[in-house]
Amino acid sequence: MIEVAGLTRRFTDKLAVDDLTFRVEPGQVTGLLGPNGAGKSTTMRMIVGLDRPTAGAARIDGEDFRTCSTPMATLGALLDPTAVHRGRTGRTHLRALAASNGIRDQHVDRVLEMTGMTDAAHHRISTYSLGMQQRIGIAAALLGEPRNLILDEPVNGLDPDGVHWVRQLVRHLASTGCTVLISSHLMSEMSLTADRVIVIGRGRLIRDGSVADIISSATRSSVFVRSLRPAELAIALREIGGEVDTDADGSLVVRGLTSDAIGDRAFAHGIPVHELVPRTGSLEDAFLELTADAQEYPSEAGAGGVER
Amino acid sequence: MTATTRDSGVTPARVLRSEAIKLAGLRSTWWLLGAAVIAPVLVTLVWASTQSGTVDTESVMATATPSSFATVILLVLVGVLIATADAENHAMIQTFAVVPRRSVVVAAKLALAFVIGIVIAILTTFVTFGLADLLLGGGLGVWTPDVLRALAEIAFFETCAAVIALSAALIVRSTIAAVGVVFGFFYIVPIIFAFVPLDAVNVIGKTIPGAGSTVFYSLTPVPGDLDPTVALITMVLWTAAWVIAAGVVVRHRDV
Repeated sequence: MIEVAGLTRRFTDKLAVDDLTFRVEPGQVTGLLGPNGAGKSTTMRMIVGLDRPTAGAARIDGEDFRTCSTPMATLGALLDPTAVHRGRTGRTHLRALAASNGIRDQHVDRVLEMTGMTDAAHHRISTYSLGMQQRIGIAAALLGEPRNLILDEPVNGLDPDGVHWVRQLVRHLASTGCTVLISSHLMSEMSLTADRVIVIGRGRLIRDGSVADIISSATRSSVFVRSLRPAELAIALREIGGEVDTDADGSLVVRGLTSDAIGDRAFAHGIPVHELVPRTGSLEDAFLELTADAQEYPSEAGAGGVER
Repeated sequence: MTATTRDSGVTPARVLRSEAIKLAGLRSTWWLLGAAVIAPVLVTLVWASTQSGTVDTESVMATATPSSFATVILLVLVGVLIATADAENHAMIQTFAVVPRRSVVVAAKLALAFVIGIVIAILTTFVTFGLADLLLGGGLGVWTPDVLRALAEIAFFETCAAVIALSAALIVRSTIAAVGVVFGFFYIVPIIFAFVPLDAVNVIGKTIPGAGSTVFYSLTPVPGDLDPTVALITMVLWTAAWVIAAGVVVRHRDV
């Protein structure tokens, strides 16, 4: 279990993490979400003991990781896959990490096989792609078969097969009782991987809950309706409390009513309906809604296109 | 937890082995160690070829000891490499994520620098003296107790240079900066201190290892120089000061 209590980190001119308190439970995959500069990596680094908190504390299985005597069995961490000496081979890098905790070379070879890096293990890390470095970083985190796992952006640079593998891996580890804290900017991936998410912005906790609860509380579901008599249907739906918006093509977006209620109402008024599609909000919608006021580096509205 | 990790845990011996694997896994390590052994021999060969006149203990010593500067340079680079192989690309993140007790890592690196330093230093110091003796045709008569003491002191200075270089590199976390700091401390700071019109500062300047070690290279005392025993003690103190500074900085600084 990973516990963070009142964790605060002030750099010279900036409060990077501000009185953050949360708990990451075993047996679940917990996502740590936040915009760029929200303090996710600093929080993870403080949990691992790489950065000193200005105030507060982080504990792993009840103890300060900096005094842990069995670190690799307690916590596996992937914080920066490029933080390796590029002149060493992948296997030497892992052997050195394993040796520090008394883990045998045979286990290093097993983890290399598990991460699909056996063939590349004897090549220098300088020849690796970002995805391969990511796999070596994940291998390093798994070496001690840890009870807790912290992965910062683990799917960066991975191909679809690699992304799928990471998802399956963390889901499997959580099912065996491992505590998994994972950060990612890929909301669709996170919604498939995480059971629970912690959303932070400007170093502060914004929301902590299950993925379903976060989506339902931060977004509104709607029903898309297409009919040949949209004006009549809109009136009928408003009469029973529906909130109806009409699109330019005449289709309706209805909030406040279920698709069953809309279908029944249309049938009762003899209005044919050609399409009736319930729409629920996504984790990305919820994230954008929750962090709208906490963007450290906001993009210009409508600046999605590139000027040619 | 499986059998793989049931007995896992950090011990100083395991961290030392980890650091040794890291160092052995770099090609530059083997180039440096090879150069540290070969360069002093080559320097001695060149120096011996220029020698003429009477052959005695002093002349054999004068032929062998110029190679010590090559050993010092290469051992400083080895010491720096042990530290910066982790520091320059932030690989220290991984090191401290698996060994969060940073003092254990620092101690392992120091032990590695000391062991490599003392082995290379003793080997090269005694081999180059023997080579100079052989090339000048002096015979075994030059291996006096004074010579053995001087060679041991030179080897100790070279080892301290490796340890100080490691400590400096742990503090500055850059190869170029560490090399600059070490040689600046060894050879430039004593010159600056000599110009300060304060006796205490002048004396401190003489104890800095680069200046203090000069007494080890001469078999006869030079007036105004430090006593070799004082030079040894101050070298130990300077080395300890660098080690303590590195330990404190690494322990308290963000990675």
